Amino acid sequence: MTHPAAVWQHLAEAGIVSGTSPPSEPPPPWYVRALLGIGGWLAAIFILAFMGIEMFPFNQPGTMTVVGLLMIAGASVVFYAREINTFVAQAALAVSFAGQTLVIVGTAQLLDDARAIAFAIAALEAVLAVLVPYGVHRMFCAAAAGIALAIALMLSGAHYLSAGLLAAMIGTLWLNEFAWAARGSTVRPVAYGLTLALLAVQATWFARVHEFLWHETPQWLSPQIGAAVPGIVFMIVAAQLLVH
Amino acid sequence: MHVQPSGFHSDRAVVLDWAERGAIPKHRLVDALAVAGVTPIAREWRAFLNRLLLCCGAACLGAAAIFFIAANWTALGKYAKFGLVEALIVGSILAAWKLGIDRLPGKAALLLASLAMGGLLALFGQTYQTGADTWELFATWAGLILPWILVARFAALWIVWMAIVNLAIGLYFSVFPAFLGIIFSPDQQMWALFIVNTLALGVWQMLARRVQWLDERWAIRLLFASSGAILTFLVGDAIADRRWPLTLITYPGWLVATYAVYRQRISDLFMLAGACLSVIVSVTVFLVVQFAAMAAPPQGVFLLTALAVVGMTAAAAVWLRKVAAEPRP
Repeated sequence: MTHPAAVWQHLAEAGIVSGTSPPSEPPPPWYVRALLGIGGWLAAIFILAFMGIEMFPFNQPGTMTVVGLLMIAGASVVFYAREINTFVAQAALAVSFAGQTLVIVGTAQLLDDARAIAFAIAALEAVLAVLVPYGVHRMFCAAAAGIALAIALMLSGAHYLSAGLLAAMIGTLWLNEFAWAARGSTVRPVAYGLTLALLAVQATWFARVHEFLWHETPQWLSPQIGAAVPGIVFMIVAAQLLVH
Repeated sequence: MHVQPSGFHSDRAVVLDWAERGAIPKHRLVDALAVAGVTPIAREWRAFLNRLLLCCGAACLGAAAIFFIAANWTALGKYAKFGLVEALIVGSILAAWKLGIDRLPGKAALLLASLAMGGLLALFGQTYQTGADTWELFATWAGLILPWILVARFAALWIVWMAIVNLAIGLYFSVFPAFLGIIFSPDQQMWALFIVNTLALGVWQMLARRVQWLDERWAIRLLFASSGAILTFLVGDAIADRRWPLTLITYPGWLVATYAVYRQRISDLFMLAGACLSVIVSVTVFLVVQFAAMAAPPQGVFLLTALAVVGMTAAAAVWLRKVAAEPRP
């Protein structure tokens, strides 16, 4: 770790940049982001408890979904502000997490088809991961989108595809990190979030959770193909890294 | 004296942030990262992939042997089963000797031998039904592989050993709720685990300054995380049951020690962030217990708790940023 000004000077000496060192405010290291994320979820649980007990009855899925969407929208407006205070950002994070929980629970009660619910949640979380400009938020939304997608695939009979598909998405994002540097603050948190989702999918795969929960869904994709796809992805990524 | 910030951001993050702001031309980004020395070259990737595949291969070989025996349990005789696992142990020890334990392949072979030893003990217990408790298996396992761990000089192997020791202690207390007439409560198990992990952390941290192969940040952070997580559980338990004395001494001591070591002696923000998280969780448990004890809790206590969590988390993030920006010698 060097002082940013020293890094800038190295770059200037190599003729890559000129002028004085511009300001830099990269995202905090991963463990500080994890602290913010866990704190956000902890606060969201208390917001949900407050709303459930004191504000409105939880037995109306339509109301829950609408209120949840409004909370997400309110939080997103805060994240779009140019200058954002840490306390306000953290409050917005908790409000959005609580809102997402309301939308997920509300949607699950509105729709009958479990597969449609999972696809809808995956789509919503993916949109939030791309549109809401806050790194910690992007990462958790991308993780939620990845897990919801894996559940949707499982309910479609393609459970064994999810690990390979997630691995391919993660590989694509990281291999193109520099080519897409102008969108780096979106690409990196989404890649981290999808990695978390892949770990969750792998852990439950090893524990065979799906067989207990959704054993009635026939799986048309064989586990062997499911295991081969991440292996192929790994080999492609390794080959790309060695060529570069 | 050369003074620089202890560093919140890696050089890589700084360069990529400039690229996103357009301060570095798009077509020069790869050059810029190379000049800053933050992107591995193909040779380094090759070395990394070699290490990764070697360690994964060793672990998979151990797992494959155990699955082979389990899947062919009835088809294999007693001698075939023992022979297979013992051959694996002898083979990996010979491989470690031939490859040299100062090199990674030799260390990976010792890792395989250590894992296979657990398989052998499990096979022994299953075949002869000795009536031994599960904790004895793990304790024997830890004891038998200790000489290999000592000669391997490999941080990952010590972490595996610590995991086995943790399992043995956890299982011991679940089998023996009392010892010499003293009845153990469930939190005595947690205290034992806390003491063992914290001692290991202290010893490791002290030795890491002198012994190069022990200076692995991830391993020390893992020990710190287990020590902190167990203590936070104990603090939460003490708050809920209103049993203060031991925790009241230990917790502040642990926090002060963390601050003194990881802010003033060794700069490691991971540990400070972990301690912050522990305090946030403990204070939240305290608030919830206080509110729950009230006959008529005020309106909006949950909202207040949510705000308290938000406030503490934001304050922790601001403080960590401030610590990172401080100059250090």
